[in-house]
Amino acid sequence: MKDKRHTNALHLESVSHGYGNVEVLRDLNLVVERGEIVVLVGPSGCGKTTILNLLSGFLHPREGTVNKDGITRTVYQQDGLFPWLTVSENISMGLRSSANGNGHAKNASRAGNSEVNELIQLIRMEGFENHYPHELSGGMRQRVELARVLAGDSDILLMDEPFSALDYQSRLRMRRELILLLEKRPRTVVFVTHDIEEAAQLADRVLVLSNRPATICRELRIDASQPRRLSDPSVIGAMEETLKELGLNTPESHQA
Amino acid sequence: MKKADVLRLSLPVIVLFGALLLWSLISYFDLFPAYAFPSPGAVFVSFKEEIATGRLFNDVVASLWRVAVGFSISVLLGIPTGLWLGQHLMVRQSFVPMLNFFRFLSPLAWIPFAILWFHIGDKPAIFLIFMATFFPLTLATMVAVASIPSIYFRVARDYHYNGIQLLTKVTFPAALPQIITALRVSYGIAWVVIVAAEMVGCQDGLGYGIWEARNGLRLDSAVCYMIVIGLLGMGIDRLLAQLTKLPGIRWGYER
Repeated sequence: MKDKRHTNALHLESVSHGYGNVEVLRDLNLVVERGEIVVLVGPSGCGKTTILNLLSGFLHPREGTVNKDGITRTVYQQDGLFPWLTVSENISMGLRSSANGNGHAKNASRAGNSEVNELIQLIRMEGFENHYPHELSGGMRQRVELARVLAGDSDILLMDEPFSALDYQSRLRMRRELILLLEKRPRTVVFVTHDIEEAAQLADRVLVLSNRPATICRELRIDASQPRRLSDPSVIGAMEETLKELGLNTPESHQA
Repeated sequence: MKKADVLRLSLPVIVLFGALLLWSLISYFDLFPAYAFPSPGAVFVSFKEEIATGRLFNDVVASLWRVAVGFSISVLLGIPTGLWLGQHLMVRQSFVPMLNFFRFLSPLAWIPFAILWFHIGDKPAIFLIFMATFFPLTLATMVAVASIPSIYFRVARDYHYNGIQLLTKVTFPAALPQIITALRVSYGIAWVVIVAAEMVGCQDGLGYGIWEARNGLRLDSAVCYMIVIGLLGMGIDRLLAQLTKLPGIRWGYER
């Protein structure tokens, strides 16, 4: 799988979708390269989550094709962990492979344990292995979610506003955490958010979506190296561009 | 012990003694004829008699056995049925009206059938306990499954849970806290029904004891059996309540 580095991880080809009479996506084309972090921003209700659902295979498009090369996993806004499993049990779910629905084979379980321990160290949650999700703070739970999607053989992470239920400071910390984790375990990421600052700080590429039916109305490439400071000129520039595209940054308010 | 703990433990005892006192006063002043309103003393004497003859112990065992068997059959059939119904909208829509219909039939209505189908012995009582508990337990399990947040199934899909694994590792644990609540409620029903269930075809049991006391106009003995039924019911419910504290289940009660 890893020898196809040059190929695209995800490819949406003239995809249209809707619910009932409501047209949500119209003729959407989207290519995500392997290892890229693509962030989708747009007005609320514009179909960002629909795109993730199409990518995960939860929905099938009315028209067009969805091609993906690899295993996708989703991080949700909250409550994605199984509350009846401990932190380490939740993370070891990530080791279940598609080929082997019965979980990892017995001789692999030792390797699995060390993998889970390594991930727990990566998210700095040593000592919480046997805690249950309801005993953790919101930020800790999202860190466990990150560890779970990174465990095992996942290739593509779909992130549906994963930090938006957290307070501002936790959100800042989680962005940094995500970048550091991706440095150690590179993955292709499609990240949906309504937080423009978050988009500018994390993305290799920001895609600004239009109102329903959604199409991509602006594409911003951000080449600055990671991790980025909020005050980084490239971050500020990308934020201004995005705000302008969304009609939220008029020249008058900019001068004031 | 903290003051709050002392109060928490002592207040129920005070209330209990208040009730006993009220009971004593009513019988002391002969507000009701003694044969229709046994005094605490008379009940205490009959308690000693029932224990001395070994009858009470025998009745307790007989009743516990019948409830255990009837309730176990309910659990073994009701929970899988509820899991199945909860997962399939069409099946649910087809069966729910009928299940609801049976839920509202008092177990007393089944007594003639119990006698004709199962004659005498433990079987009619077990049948009545089953009929009283199967429907509420099945429906409650079904509702528990149907109300599992869909996010768990989407996560399960990402991690390749299918078929029987999806059922045992996702659906069942997700519904388990509510299923345990359903167990407690339906166990309560089973224990309440024991009095009615043992009115037919039995020669022993706590319900039979009350029935026999009525026939002999020995209300002191009836009260003695009532106290035992109440205490045992409470005790077993406390045991079932311990299940809610198990590690993989507690989350359901702490949100």
